[in-house]
Amino acid sequence: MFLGLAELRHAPGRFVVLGVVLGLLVALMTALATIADRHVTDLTGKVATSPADLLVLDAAAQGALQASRIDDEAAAHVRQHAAGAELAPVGEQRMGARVADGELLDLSLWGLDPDSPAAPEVIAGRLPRQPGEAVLDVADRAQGAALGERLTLVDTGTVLEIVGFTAEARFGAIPTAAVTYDAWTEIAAEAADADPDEVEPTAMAVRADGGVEELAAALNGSSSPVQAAPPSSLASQLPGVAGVRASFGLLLGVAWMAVAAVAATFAVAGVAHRQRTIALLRAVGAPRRRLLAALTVQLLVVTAVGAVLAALLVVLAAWLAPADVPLRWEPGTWAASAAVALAATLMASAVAVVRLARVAPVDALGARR
Amino acid sequence: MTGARLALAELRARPGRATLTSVGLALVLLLALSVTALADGLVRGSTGVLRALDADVVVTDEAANHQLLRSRLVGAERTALLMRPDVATAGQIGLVPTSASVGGGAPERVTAVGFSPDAPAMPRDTVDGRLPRPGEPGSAAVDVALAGGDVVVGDTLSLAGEREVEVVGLVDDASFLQQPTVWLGQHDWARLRQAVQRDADYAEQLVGATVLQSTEHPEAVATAITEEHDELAVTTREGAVAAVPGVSAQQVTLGAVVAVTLAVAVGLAALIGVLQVLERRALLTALRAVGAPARTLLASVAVRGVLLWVGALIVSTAATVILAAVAPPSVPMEVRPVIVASVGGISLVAATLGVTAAAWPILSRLDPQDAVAEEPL
Repeated sequence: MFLGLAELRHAPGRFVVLGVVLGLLVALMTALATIADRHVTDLTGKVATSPADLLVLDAAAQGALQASRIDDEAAAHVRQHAAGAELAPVGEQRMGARVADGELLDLSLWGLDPDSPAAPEVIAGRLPRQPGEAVLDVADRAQGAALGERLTLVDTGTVLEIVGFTAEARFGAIPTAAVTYDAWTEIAAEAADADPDEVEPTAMAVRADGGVEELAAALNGSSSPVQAAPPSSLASQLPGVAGVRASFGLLLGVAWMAVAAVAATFAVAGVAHRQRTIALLRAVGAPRRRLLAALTVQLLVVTAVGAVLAALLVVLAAWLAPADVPLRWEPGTWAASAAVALAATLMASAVAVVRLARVAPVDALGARR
Repeated sequence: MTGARLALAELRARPGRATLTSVGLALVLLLALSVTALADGLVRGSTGVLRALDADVVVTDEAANHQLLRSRLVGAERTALLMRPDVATAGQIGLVPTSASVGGGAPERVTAVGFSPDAPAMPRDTVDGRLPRPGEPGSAAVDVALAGGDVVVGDTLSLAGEREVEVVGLVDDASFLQQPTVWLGQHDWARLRQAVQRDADYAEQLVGATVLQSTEHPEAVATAITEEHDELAVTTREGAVAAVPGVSAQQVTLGAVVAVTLAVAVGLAALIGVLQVLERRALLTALRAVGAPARTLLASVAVRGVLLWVGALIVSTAATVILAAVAPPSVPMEVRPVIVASVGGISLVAATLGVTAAAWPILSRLDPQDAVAEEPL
């Protein structure tokens, strides 16, 4: 161990370069994992955080909320199979909006009744109870949202007062607001130049007293006009979610292999560079185990330094990143990335161990290369 | 030339030593290529519908803010735009998210695009068959991506589980928000919209966005129309592409990831430069002692690094193509030559600078006298 640390102090240059490379790779892994998590939360949060036991969509929508409408036939099907369960309509529509006098934003506007199975949880303020009130997600504070501030729906000219904030409850990775369901139908009807009675819910929220799986199975029976699923399951089926998870998972796998390959390259080159020194140490009685420990300690120290550098880089990047880049400093994700990098480094050191094990004491007497 | 010969001779003499280094480089380049291909695939998969059109200006209503899905401009409103001297021709498109199944198979999410029979609103090319003719009911042209690429002309398509149309043509690279598109004439589109969005009446004209071919610079035309029409949001086709939900955020986010990956590549190149010199310090010192200039030795190190880089780029390109082929369909990776050329070119320049910048300080300090001194342990 002391041998490894002594060499680190004696020739720090190449260890610094390796530490920087590993630090950038760990920062990259942390950023990829954080962005993937945050992006999925931004895409699906409003559905995933729904307190309902089941959400029911139009079967033809194939899990896409924007394509879903619960018509009379579908609503009757739900009422028939969910007798005794608490039901509530849910509305969702994209609109143009401004917070105060800010720039024009794309908004996902939800209609959710405050005392229903669809009611969102607020972390500040309260739920909307009047037609002119709305809650926004706390992430939308970056757009200037604050309690008491105005939210203007450009499509209809409707002005809403922000009375509360939800957390982790965005939808479609855009600012997300909720009003009462009645207020939503009025707004949706005005935007579509239709009668409020013609506006159909986008989905239905169901709260059951137990037997959720059986209820879902009954609602999803053959030739059913609806698709019922728990919110978390429905969230994972929303458009784009599987793609984001698979894409970032693939990139993380490649990054992990890159960490292992970089560490292995360095470790093997280090053994090759110090072959005669290692042979001499073996000749004067240094046990092979001690030399292996020195090499491993060096790699672990450098990886740990790289992990600390990665933390600084991610904190800096999260601070500098524009609001629409979902990068945050999340210690848990960083710790997981650092642990994975350490594991990759240990695996990589095995390659150098094989090479080191081949160095014989007699090599110390060999001709100079 | 001497530097290059030295590098080639050493690579020929000890090819094994370069193998592991090449693997490390190839993995970092694989990461850079994968991220870039993914970013490209994500953007192209979201914006194909706009790129397929022969239009250079896109008009939506002001509240829609360039978003095709939200725009509610009615087809008749384009007449006023057609009167403008800076507009050559105009068309209308309307988008409706729905589902489609081919030949009774499993339904999948699609975007139905209603289009007017005007040049800017029609896909430029069909890869097979034709587009629905004006007034022809029950026909559609579909994105080749539908049904995993198994759709052919003559198939029957069920839209939203209730309306059947015959596939009369195939279009390529025309998806929207990672979903295939189905191109319909006005009547079929209006019927479908009425069925899917039951709060909407049958639309006598397409409701959505107006697309234009301009006679002047598209940006100037967009600015001029915006100034004259407060109720419209007008932008170039490129502007509309950037306004597609998620596109700008994806470009910024994945662009930053690509930049960090390239920084890793430069750092790795610097590390290789340092290791190359340290590993062969005795040999390089001896070469200095017999008169080799430090610059020749630097050239040999740089050439060796570049050769390793080129080898790694070839391996990583092949690996990326394989990865894109075996990845699940939900991973929209597209390995286009322009991506390989840009990542390869930028990384090669950066790597050459990294190798030389890291190796030069050590090479320039090599003392020829050390060649005859006792080797330090």
